[in-house]
Amino acid sequence: MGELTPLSMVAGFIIAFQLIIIGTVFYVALSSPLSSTELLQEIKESAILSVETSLITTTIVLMLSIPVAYWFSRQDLKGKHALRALLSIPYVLSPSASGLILLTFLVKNPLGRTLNESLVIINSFNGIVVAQCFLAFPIGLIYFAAVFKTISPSLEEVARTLGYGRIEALYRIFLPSLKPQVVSGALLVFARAFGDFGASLILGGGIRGRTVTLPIALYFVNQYGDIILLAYALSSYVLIAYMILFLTSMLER
Amino acid sequence: MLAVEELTVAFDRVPIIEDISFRLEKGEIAVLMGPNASGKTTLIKAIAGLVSPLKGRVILENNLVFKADGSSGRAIVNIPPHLRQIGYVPSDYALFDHLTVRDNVMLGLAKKPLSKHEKEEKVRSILELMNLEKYSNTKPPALSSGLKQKVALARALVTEPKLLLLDEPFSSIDPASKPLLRLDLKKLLNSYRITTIIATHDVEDAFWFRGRVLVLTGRMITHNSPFLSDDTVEDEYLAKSLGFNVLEGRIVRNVEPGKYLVEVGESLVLAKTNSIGRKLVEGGLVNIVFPPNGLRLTPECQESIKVNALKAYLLDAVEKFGQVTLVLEVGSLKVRADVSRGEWEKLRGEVSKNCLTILLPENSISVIEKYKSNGDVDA
Repeated sequence: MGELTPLSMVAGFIIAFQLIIIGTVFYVALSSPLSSTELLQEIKESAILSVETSLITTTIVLMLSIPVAYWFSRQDLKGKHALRALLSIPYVLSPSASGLILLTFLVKNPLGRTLNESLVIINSFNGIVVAQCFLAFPIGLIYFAAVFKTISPSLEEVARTLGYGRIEALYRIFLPSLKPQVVSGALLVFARAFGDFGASLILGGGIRGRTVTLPIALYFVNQYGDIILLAYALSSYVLIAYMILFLTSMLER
Repeated sequence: MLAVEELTVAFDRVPIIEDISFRLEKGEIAVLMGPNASGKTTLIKAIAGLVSPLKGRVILENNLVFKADGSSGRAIVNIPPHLRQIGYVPSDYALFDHLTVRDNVMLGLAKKPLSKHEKEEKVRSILELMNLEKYSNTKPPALSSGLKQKVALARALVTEPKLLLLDEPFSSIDPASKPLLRLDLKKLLNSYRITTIIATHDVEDAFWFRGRVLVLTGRMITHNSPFLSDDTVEDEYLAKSLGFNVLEGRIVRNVEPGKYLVEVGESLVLAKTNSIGRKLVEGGLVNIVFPPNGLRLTPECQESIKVNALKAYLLDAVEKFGQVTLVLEVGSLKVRADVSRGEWEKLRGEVSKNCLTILLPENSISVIEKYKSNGDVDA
């Protein structure tokens, strides 16, 4: 244990307060037996759906945002800031507004309609992934562009004299050297996807048994009015979030 | 062999280096000197293919690796950096911190069409040559600056380059370690016989490596000689770097062939010229150069019309073992005079109000070109 200083006391107070707040949910969940096992099963399925869609989203967003962010960090174009602001719009908008923008595009735009018909986006698993990608991409872009700016130009120059093209140097030299930062970026993207409610509901449709992610399930359980079930759902949500955070902090080492 | 011809590099239409031309024979070492921001790194990067010059040609071992005429804005020939067979070591050594010393060196061979065994053998051999075997599995953050420099050199040399470009190789090395590292590098370069350019702002490197001296000042090469010696100080930057006094003056008249009367502040100085071929015009700006030693200092403090006598004020006296360096002010110009401790003790008692006279020995004063900030010749 460290020395008791004002700073450690403040930190201790915040940790204790956080534990009390979260602990209350677990206390409520464990204090009474569950009344509906069917709804519990649905919550489990929602949790699995949330993890599945968020993992797919994280993979897609990292694949897209890393090269684009690298390009942005190395270009000195005149319209760069305007372009970056355009790509980052969903970062500022509410998730439901982003979902509605996507829905309008998929319904009203011929290209959107074609995409929807071929990929089956609206009211489906794919819809949730598309919504989450739309929301999480700007986070990946902003985060990785900042990370890539820390790469010394001389490292890139040496890589070029050794025969590495820019993209090859990025994937074979720089990303492996930035492993902790890549893990942190992946966590940020995952968190945005995993926590989304509005966009996933609008594009996925919130169809019971098919497109209800954990945040949507929480909303439905809350409407249902069973506080014990709600506490169970919240506890599983918190547990998943904690496991992911713990895992990423291990990987960041 | 390296030939650089009329090379101009500009960023946003602002020239950084202009019309640079020089030639190095195979195995020759060149020390590229110049003040900070004079364009040394830009020139090195242009030769390496890391920046695209506006115009000029770069020929390496009889192969044209770059050519642009400046009219179209596009290069006619521009061989990519890795195909130029150049070893490049930047000033921060650019080692990859997540890789071990062995893997950093191996990176130099990653793209070579060699078997794994051949690559491993080459890496082992260069690590052994440079006494780095015991650090093979160490990562760069755990190495000293000197060892980092060696690893960066090993990575460049393992590729067997035709040209080695070293950008400020000793800038982050502590003064105590520099001589040994210079010696190691010199031995290495002599054994490999690779054409090498060492960019530096430390004149010591020019003495150590006994190579061709190129001085880059204000965008242009202002001095190019096969070696450096203190009696051929013709360049303003070089003279200052060697500790010579360089004072701005104005030509009064040509006294006899190769000898000029120069006005320096309120005094007149008679100076010879060996380096300036052209005739200097009256009223033209020049520099006079004289060494800090061999100056006679007298405690007189009066306006003098004697030639080669400068009225000066003592600003500081820096004692170094048996020698004292006096910092003097002549008008608005600063002069350095090195005297023995005995001379200083004697002079100190006689000088009043820090005012004294410097008597310049006639044969040790030279007139050299004065460069404008962009490297053009004045006068």
